Amino acid sequence: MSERTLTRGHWSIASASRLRIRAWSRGNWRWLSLLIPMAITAIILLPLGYLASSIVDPNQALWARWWDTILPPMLENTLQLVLGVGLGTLVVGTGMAWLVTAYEFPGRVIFDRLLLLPLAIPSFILGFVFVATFDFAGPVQSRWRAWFGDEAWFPDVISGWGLIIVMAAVLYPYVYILARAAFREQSANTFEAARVMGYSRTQAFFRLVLPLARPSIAAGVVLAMMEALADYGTVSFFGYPTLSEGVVRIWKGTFGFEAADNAAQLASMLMFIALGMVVLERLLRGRSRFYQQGGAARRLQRVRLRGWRQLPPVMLCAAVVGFAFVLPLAQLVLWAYQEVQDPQVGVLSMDLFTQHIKNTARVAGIAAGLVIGLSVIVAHGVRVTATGGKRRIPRFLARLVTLGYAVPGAVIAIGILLIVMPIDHEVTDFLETQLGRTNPDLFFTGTTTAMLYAYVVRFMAIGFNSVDSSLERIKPSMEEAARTMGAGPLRVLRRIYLPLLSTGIAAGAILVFVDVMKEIPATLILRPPFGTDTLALWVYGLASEAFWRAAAVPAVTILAISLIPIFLLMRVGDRRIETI
Amino acid sequence: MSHTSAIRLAHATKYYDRGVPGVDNISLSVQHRRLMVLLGASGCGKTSTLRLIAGLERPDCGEVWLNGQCVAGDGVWVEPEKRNVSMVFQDYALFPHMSVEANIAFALKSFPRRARRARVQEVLALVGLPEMGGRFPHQLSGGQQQRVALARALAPKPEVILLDEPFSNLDAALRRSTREEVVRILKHSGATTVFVTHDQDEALAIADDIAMLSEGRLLQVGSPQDLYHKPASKEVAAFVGEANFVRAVAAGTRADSPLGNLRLTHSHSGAVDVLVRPESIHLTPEIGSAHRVKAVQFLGFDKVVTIQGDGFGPLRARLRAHVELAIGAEVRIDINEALVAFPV
Repeated sequence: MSERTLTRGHWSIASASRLRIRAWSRGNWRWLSLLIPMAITAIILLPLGYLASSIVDPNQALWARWWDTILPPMLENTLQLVLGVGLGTLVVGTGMAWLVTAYEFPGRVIFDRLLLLPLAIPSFILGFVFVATFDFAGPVQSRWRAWFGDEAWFPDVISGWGLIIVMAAVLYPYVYILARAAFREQSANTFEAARVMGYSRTQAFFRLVLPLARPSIAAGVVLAMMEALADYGTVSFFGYPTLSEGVVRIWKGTFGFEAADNAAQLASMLMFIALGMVVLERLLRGRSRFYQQGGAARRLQRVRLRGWRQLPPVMLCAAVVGFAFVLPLAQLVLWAYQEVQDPQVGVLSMDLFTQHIKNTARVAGIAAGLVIGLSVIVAHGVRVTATGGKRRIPRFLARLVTLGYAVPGAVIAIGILLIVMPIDHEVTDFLETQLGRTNPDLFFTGTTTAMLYAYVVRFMAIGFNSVDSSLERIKPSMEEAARTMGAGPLRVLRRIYLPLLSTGIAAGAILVFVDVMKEIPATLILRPPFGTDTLALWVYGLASEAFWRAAAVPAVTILAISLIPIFLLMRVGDRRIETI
Repeated sequence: MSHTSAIRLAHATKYYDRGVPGVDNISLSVQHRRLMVLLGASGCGKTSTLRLIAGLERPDCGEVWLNGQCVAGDGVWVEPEKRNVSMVFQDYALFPHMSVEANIAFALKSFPRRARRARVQEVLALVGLPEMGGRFPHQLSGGQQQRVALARALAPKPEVILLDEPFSNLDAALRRSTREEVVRILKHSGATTVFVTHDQDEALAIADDIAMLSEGRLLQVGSPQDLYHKPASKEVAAFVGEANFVRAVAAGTRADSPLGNLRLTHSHSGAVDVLVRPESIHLTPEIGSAHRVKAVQFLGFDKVVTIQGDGFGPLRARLRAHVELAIGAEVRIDINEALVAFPV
């Protein structure tokens, strides 16, 4: 007791020093729990940083040659494609969203969901179906010539325009989802106020509803444009050289170290364009994040269309879903059926099929596990450190770690090659000279390691966002309540965190799995020289050689798996997320 | 020491990030089975104090004692899950993925498995929700969620229950009835209770003792009557109940003021601010008086009359509703009781 009294007597001195120690250790603890997330972020950003540094010392002669030959058409094509896809998805996505939000017509509830389905079709699959169907040798042109003679004019659809239509057809759902959510969020009051002030429905839509939804729509459009910028498979089917395609072509067309170095020159330029689009999106959204006042307001009253007026919306919806999903799916199923019934010799076998499925599942599964594991670590670190007024650094870290999603897969692959090739050579030298091993596998490029690295960089954003948003739903008071009820940290983790996070983790893992399964350029560049490809590469290889029927078999498989997250998305759309 | 209090804080201090004290050297005891209200404006440190008791915050200095045992301070630290303290959170903190029964059973970790079911039903009946065990939190109304949170806190028969503004998310009509019900249940449970609120009416209505906090410091501890009738400072007087302050010059237990010569409870000398509660003021119509009625606010049972006088600011008086006073009427002011004064 006397000791305690003494302490209390010297309260101010004791407290001052103790306080300083506490504050110091608390500050460091903060940094410590950010240390691992920071390290992860650094590893993820490394290939991008390495590429950025390669433009500091540009290869002048190479650029001069490119300016005279391949670069101008590539730039023009890329610009045309990106802008065309942006405009196409803007019109289709916004238009369809407004149609199902503001009007009531037969089949609206079903179309509301069906319009999401094209999201399941990778653009290269719709691309090869489109090319196979409308090509000179394809069924449409053959029929056309049979009817109108050999010299009959037919529009050149295997062109930039055809490509834009194909890509917009599979990418418009990005805009559709975000625009639809934005329209639904808007309260009917603003719309009705405009009507009372003498604006027609159409005028009110353009003057009020659209500007209010602009941030969401812009985000969707930029997302679609980024996909177009990153695409490799589709553009190569159309023989349409773009920057992404150029990176792969240059890498394939040269040998040895120079291949990666030359490709890196173009890749770094492409990376800055992609990052520019991230900035563009921020600017378009910028401060114009509009909030509706007055909480849960009434929803917009749908206009019930009657008589012949019901026809145009039904036909529009049917045309979009038909062109972007139903018809290509039917064609693919037909081809796959024909191939199975009457297999072409030496192209497809059950053995090959199972090998590709196994390999894809392994690679995509490991990638999904890696991404989710790293996401949990980073999201948790960000969450525990972003308290009070100190949110900026952790939040900035969260933004950095997700940056890879904006960068085309080909660019990331080249960046990784630059880093790992020298390491591989060192390791191999060491193994051969010091340990006497003959022809060891290259550690990164000889195995799937480099590929997995690229997937983590590219798809980290998907995993992180799902984990982070489900973490956000767990209020700090829930953990505290559990602790006052006698639950230790482990029990809190097992009973509170894991069950509440599991949905987010599962959703994130499925999304990453599907995206890896559909990925082409990074896989193409980083795949190990021996071994089995992924399903997407197999489709790509078969379709490039015009084995349409054979390509349809793995394509249908990809499509079936891609539908899983779409159905999940539909369920989330149905149910309001349950929060207290 | 033969007599120990259920909760004791000794010089408890908690600093926020930038070295601003959130809880500044607070010493406080709560006796067994009493209900203490921590009262203060938002940001005064009352919730932080509650969290220190629960073990959700570590004190930077000072000690926390529960039932004669030190749980924090001087190198001692007992984790919240080892303190046998229950807490009802402002947002209820119900687990959205568990049914009402599972939420309550979660708190019964230390109970034998077979006794849990019975206890869950018992507390659900106690809070008047015997049929709701199978529901999920999002299927309940705000008031029902509130009662489930309370049931969950009561379930393990804790020695101490802490409530952090538990009624702030309820609308006014529901609040009063829920409050009376909750206080009855808490009293019946026999637990020592600490209740945080910024609502002085709530504090006066339910507390055995009130601890008034401001800017992390403890201003006064006492019964509701003490705080109302014998406030230790102007700040307490202004926060608890309605207060008029009249500048006066004191000499012993008398003071000269624009309201006339006033009687004081304690002797002072020199300039003082005299606390005049609205209900201590008696008004009589008197032609020629310097004081006039400026506004009348009808409240049902009584009314508030604002008087503008000579030499003092607007003065609010509470009168029975039947007293007729028109706006502009000249009135005489009488104050009969002894008043509390604060030196300026």
